[in-house]
Amino acid sequence: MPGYLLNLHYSKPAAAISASGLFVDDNPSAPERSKVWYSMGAGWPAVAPTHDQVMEASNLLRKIPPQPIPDNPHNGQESFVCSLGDDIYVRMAADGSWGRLWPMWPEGMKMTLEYTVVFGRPNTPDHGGATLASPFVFLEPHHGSGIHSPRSVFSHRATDAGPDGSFIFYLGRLSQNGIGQKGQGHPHQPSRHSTYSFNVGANVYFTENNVQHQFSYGHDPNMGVKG
Amino acid sequence: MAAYLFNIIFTKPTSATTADGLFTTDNPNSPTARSKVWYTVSTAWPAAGAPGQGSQLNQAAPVTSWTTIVPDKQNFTCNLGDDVYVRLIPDSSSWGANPALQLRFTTVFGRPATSGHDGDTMATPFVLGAGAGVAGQNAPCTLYTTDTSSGTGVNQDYTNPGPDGAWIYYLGQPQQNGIGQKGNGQGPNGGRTCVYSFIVGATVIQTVSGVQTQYTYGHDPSMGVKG
Repeated sequence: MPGYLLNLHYSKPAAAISASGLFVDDNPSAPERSKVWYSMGAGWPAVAPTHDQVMEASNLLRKIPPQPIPDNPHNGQESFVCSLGDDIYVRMAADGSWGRLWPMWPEGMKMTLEYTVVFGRPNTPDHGGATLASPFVFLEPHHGSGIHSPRSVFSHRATDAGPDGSFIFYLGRLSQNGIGQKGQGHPHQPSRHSTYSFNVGANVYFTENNVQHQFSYGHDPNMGVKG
Repeated sequence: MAAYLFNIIFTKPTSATTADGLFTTDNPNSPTARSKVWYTVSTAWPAAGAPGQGSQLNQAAPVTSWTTIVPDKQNFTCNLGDDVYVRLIPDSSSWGANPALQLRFTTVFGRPATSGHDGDTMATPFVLGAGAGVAGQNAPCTLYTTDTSSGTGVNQDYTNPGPDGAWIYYLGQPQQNGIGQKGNGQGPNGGRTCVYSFIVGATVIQTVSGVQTQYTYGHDPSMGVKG
């Protein structure tokens, strides 16, 4: 199944007066873009994700078309849409404002990141009359009221960045009609898609000269899921 | 200054086909079933004063005695410097008595405020404490979480409820024009309101006969801040 990655950059604000608490806006002419969805293609990641954090470089700078899709475009165009069974990732990367040494910090400097993804808004339109907060489900026993219970919250604190200096997290595989789900019994319908909106947040802890500083960021993506 | 408490109830779904990953909808006809509503807190509460920002308050909240209630969808507004709390409580009819629950709390601000605060758009009206952020005093606070795990994400922080069986967290006091903030210098304007939207998430664990079962919930409140 295809994989899609929401790429988010975070800046080091020069002062509180320039800090908005938001991730960096997209710059379509930048080599690597923020608040966009990249199609990752086959073969990535090389090792199937089995844990929250993916310790593998994204290689976004070497990616070829298709071009990434801006999240929440303001020009009235449809935003990102994917399909049942697709794999979804979120990547957070420090931009150049953190210094020329990024992403390889010297001794005495370190960056850790605590991330959270929360779904809390009913999807639109209803999925055959069944309204869900999230297209992700628990697959393990003892999670929710049976297999395929909705998963609304993701959270993880990463002490180490991946090999490209970024933090990549795997949300899972999209599901709407699975066994036990509210949408079960309603057949897959590729012409219909439900739109889910959610928030991505990050607390960044940056240690410099043995002093730890905290910054926080947020963004409100959405995704349409066919079927 | 006034204080407000956002109350949300979570229900134990009977099966995955009834689970939607959302908090319980409000029931205006039952004082104990008010969910997704903002209470105006009595001046005597909490007796020991507000805890640290983002911290859990271990004190019962007598919500049924608080009569000024604003449903979330009716454009709740507050003022600069008010105290804001979030309370999460299990629905006793679905969980039963003494359900042996633990909870991990999350709140993420990720949407630009509307309207712009004199052109300054912020994600959140809350700020990090002194010493946080190289950016200086009043850097924005976008993410609240009780997840302080530093390892694999398995040992995340779940806490027990307070004396009334609920989990109460203190978000802080809204600010928009403070020292170092983007709005600094603009001056409070009582005729202007910035609306912030955010998502509150909860991961709940129930332990029965040594077996843990996990549930997740989300909701997307909004709050207007005057000034």
